[in-house]
Amino acid sequence: MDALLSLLFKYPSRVWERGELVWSPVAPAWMIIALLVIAVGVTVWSYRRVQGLSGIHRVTLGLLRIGAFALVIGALLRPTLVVASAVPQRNVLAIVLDDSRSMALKDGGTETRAQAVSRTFSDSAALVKALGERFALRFYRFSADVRPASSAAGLLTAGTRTDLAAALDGARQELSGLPLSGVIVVSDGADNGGKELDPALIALRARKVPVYTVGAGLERFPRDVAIERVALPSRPLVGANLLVDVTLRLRGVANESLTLTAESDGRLVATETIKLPAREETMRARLRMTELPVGTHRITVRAKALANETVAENNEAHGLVQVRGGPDRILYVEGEPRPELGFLRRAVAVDSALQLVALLRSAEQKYLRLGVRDSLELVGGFPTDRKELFEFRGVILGSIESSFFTPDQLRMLGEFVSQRGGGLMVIGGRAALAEGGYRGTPVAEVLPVSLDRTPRGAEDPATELRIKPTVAGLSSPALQLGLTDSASAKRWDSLPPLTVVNSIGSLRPGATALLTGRIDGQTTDQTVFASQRFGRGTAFVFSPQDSWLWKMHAEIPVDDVTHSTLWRQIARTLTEESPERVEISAVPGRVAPGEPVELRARVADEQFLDVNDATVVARVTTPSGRETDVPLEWSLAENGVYTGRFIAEESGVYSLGAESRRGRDTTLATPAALLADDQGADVEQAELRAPLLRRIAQETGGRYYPLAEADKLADDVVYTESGVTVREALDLWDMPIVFLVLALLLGAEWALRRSRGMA
Amino acid sequence: MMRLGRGAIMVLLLTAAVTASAPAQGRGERGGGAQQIEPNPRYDGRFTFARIRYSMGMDFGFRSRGGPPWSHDYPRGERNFTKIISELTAVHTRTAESVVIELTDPELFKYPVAYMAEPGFWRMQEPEVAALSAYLKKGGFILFDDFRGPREWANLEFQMQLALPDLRFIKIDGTHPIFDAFYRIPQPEALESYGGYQPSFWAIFEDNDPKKRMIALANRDNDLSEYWEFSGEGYFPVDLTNEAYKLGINYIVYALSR
Repeated sequence: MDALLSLLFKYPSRVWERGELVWSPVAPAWMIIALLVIAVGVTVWSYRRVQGLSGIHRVTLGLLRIGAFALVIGALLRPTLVVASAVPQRNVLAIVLDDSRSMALKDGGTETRAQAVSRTFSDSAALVKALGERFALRFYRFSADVRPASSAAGLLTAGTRTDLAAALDGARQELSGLPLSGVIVVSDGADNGGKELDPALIALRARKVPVYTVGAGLERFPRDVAIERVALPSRPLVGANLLVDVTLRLRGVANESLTLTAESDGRLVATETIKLPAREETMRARLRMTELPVGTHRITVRAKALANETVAENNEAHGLVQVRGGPDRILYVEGEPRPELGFLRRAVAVDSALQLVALLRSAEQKYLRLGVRDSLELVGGFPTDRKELFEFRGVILGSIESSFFTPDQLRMLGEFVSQRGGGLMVIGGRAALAEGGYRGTPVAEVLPVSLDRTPRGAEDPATELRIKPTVAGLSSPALQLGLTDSASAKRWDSLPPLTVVNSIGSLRPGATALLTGRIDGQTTDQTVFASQRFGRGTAFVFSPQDSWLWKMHAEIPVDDVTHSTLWRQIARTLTEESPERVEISAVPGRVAPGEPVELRARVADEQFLDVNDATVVARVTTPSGRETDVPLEWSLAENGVYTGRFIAEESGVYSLGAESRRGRDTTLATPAALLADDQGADVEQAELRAPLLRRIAQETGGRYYPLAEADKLADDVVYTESGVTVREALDLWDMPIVFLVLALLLGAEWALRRSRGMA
Repeated sequence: MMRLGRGAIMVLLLTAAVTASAPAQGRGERGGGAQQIEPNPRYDGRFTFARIRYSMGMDFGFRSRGGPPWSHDYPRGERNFTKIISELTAVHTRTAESVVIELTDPELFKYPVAYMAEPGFWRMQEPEVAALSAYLKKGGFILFDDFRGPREWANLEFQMQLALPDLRFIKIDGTHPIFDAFYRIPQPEALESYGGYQPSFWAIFEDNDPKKRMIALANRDNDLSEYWEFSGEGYFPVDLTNEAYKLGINYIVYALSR
C-alpha cells in the first residue's frame, strides 16, 4: 500500500509528512487565472452550441473538460514540496542495538532476536550499505548502560537489564558535539530499567533528533506462561501470614492446570495448582508460604513450564523477604472495662511478636495499665508528648470519648498516622466514633469513614449485623481465616453476627472497605471494617462492639481460634508498615552483579519530622562478608531522604545498614537487604513491546518499523531537521497521479461524447 | 489516681443513695419470700449482671425459705450492685435489668461474667456440665457466692471438677491482682458474713497457673450479695457493706479486663 502511494505521489509518505507545500507558478498568477477563465468560457460556450444533448449530459461533459483544464493549469502553478534532508556524509546516524538477555530468545523461528538484528544490520546488508552512503554510522550496544560498538556483529546478549532511557541518553550525550541526524534503536522494547523515559525523549525532541525504532521478536507468543510480577510482603513480622501475589501473563494456555511453587532459600514453602482461565490473558494467583524465621530469605517463585512453551525462561521470579522479629508495640486506650478489651488482650498475648499495652480508664481519672514495660510507662495516663506516643507502632482507640483527650492529644493522634506513619484503629463502642464526639477532630480527619451521621443515643439498642468480607477483604492478610481462599471464605460465612452501636457514615474516597455487615432480612450493607492510607500511615475503623462473641458465642467451638487469629492478624496489619526513624533501602531492590544500586535512607527525628542536616553513612556488607561504608548525601529533592550509589559486584544477598548522626543523637537503621543475581533477569516481559517503541518514535518525530521492514529506514532517515541539512524543493507537477487523473478525465469525456453520438 | 480513702467514702455515700432509691423491694424482709423472675432483657453489649439458675437434683426442702437457693438476694442484690458499679466505675452497666439464665441457654455466652448463689446446692446434669465447661474455657468467668461450710464447699469443688476435671481451686490472698483491680484491698478476708466461718478466696486458673487467666472465683464462707441486697436496710454496718461492694467492683473490673 505504501509502495503504491509512493508510486502515485512520487515520494514516500515520510517525505509528505516532513515536507512543506509551496507554489512556484511558471507565469504571473494573473495570467494563469486569465487562462483558467478563458478555458472555462470556451468550454461552456462550446458545449452550449452542441445540439441534441440533455441538460445532465451537457453539465457532466462540461465539468469533465473544466476538470482537465484545472489540472493542467494547477500544474502550471508548480506545486513544490520543500523538505529538509541530511547532506550526504556530513551527518552522523546512531544505531543503538539492544544487547540484553531477552534478545537471545528464539521466538521468531530458527534464529534468535539478536541474530536477526545482526543479520539485518550487518556491514554487508543492503540497509547498512545504503545508510553508510549517506551517513557516518556509529554503532552502540545497550542493556543497563550504553557502549560503543564497531558493528552489529556478535551481540553478546548478556545484559541483565534493558534500559531504553539510558540508551537514548547515552547515545545523545556521546554524540553531543557531532551533527546527529537521527537515532535508530533496535530492541524488543522489554524496558525494565526502572527509569522515566520522558526526560530522555524531551532532550532528543529539543534537539529535533528523530528516533527510529525497530522492533525485534514477536508481539504475542503463541504459547507461554510468564510470571510478570511477584508481590512479596516487604518486611513482615515473624509469624505473619506470608501471602505472595503472583501476576501471570498467559498466551494460548486456556483451561490448563498450572503448578506454582515458592521456595525460601531452596526449601519449598508453598505450592498451589491453579486452573488457568478460558479467556483472560492475565491472572492473579496467591501463594501462602509457611512461616519463615526471623531474617532475610531469598524467595523463588516458579510456574512449572507447560509443554511447548515459546519461552521457558520467564517462568520464575526472585525476591527477598525480610522477616522482622518485633515485638511491635501497640497502645490500646479503652474508656470502659468491657469484654472486648480482655478478649483482645488474650488474643494478642499468644503472639510473642506483638505487645499490647492497655490503658484502661476504670473510673474518672483512674487508670489501669496493663502490659506496660515498666512502672513508669503511661503513669500519667495517655502520652502528652509526641516522643512517648510515637514509640508505639500502632494505637487502638476503644470506647473512649474525644473529650477524654486534650486538643493537642487529638492532634497527636492525627499526626501519629500522617507524620509518624503508624497504624490507628478505632473500634466500635458507645463512646467511640461519632457517638464519642469525634466529628470535626483531627482523629476523624484520618479515618476511612465519615462521622457525619447523627450519633446514636447511649441507651439505643444495638444493631445485629451478619458480617462478610469484601473482595478486598478476602485478599487482605488481616482477614485470612483458613489455609486456602475457599476455606477462609467458608469460615467467614459461618461466623455468628456481631452488634454495632455506632452510626457509620459513608466510606471516604480512597478508603477500602474490608468487611461489611447486613441486618438479617435487609438488602443494604454497611461498612464494618475499613482502612485508609493517610499521609505516611494507615487508619482503620472496626465498628462492632463485641468481636469477642467470635470466641464466646454458643455456635463457636471451644477450640476455635478464629478470634485470636483475626486479632493477631489485624494487629499485625496495624503495625506492619509503621516506619522506623531511620530506614535504608536499595533501588532497585534486585540487580544483576555489576549493576549500580542507589541507596536511599529516610531519616527522621524522635517526633518523626524529616531531618535534612544529619550525617548519614550506609554500611554495605557484601555476600562474602566484606564491609563498605557509603556516605549518603541529602537528596535535595525530598525532605529527610539521603542517597548514595555503589556497584553490586558480587552475586548474592547484600546486607544494608545505616547510621544517622545529628548532634548527640546517633540512630541506627533497621537492617535491609539487596539481592544481586542474574537468574531470569530481563526475560520477565519477553514479548516485543511495539507500543512502547512506537511511542518513542512518535514523540521524537521518528517512525517505528518491525525488523522485517527495517530496509525502509534507508529512504526515511534522510529527511531530518537535525544535523547538517539542506532544503530541497521537490516538484509535484509531474506526479504520476496527476497524469493518471488527467487521462481519466479526458477518457471519460471522450467515452461520454461517443455514447451520445459526438465524434 | 483516686485514693482508697476517697473511694471508700464514695461507696459509702452512694450506698445510702442507692438504697434510698430502691424502696419497694421487700424492705425489711431479710430472706423473704420467693421473687417473681423478670424476663431477661435483650443483649445490647452493656455489662449485664447474669445470675445462673441451676437445678438441685433431689429437693430436701432447702428451698423452704426465700425461694430456690440460686435466687437468693435476687433481685435487690444485683440491682443495688449494678447501680454502684454504674456510679463508681466507667463500666457501662445495665442497672434496671439483669439476666437470670440457665447454663444450657446459648444466650449465656453473651454474658462473659456470671454469678452463682448458693453453689452448695448446685447439681449439674450432663448438658450443663458441657455448657459450663465450654463457657469457662472460651473465656467466661463465674463468681460463686453465698455459701458456707465444708459440705457446700465440697459440693462446689465436685461440680467444678465435673466441668473442668484438670483444674482445681487455688487459694488466693490480698496480694492477687484482683484485689487491686480497682480498689486496693490488702485484706479481703476481713469481711465476714457468717459467724464462725473464716472467709477465704479460691480461684481456678487456666492450666492451674495463678499467673494465667482466672476462670472462676469462690467467696468461700462468705456472702457479698447479702450485703448488696440489704445495703440500705441497716442490718449490716455500712463499712462492711462498703467492703462487699468494693470486692464486687474489683471482681467485675478484673473479669472484664484480663
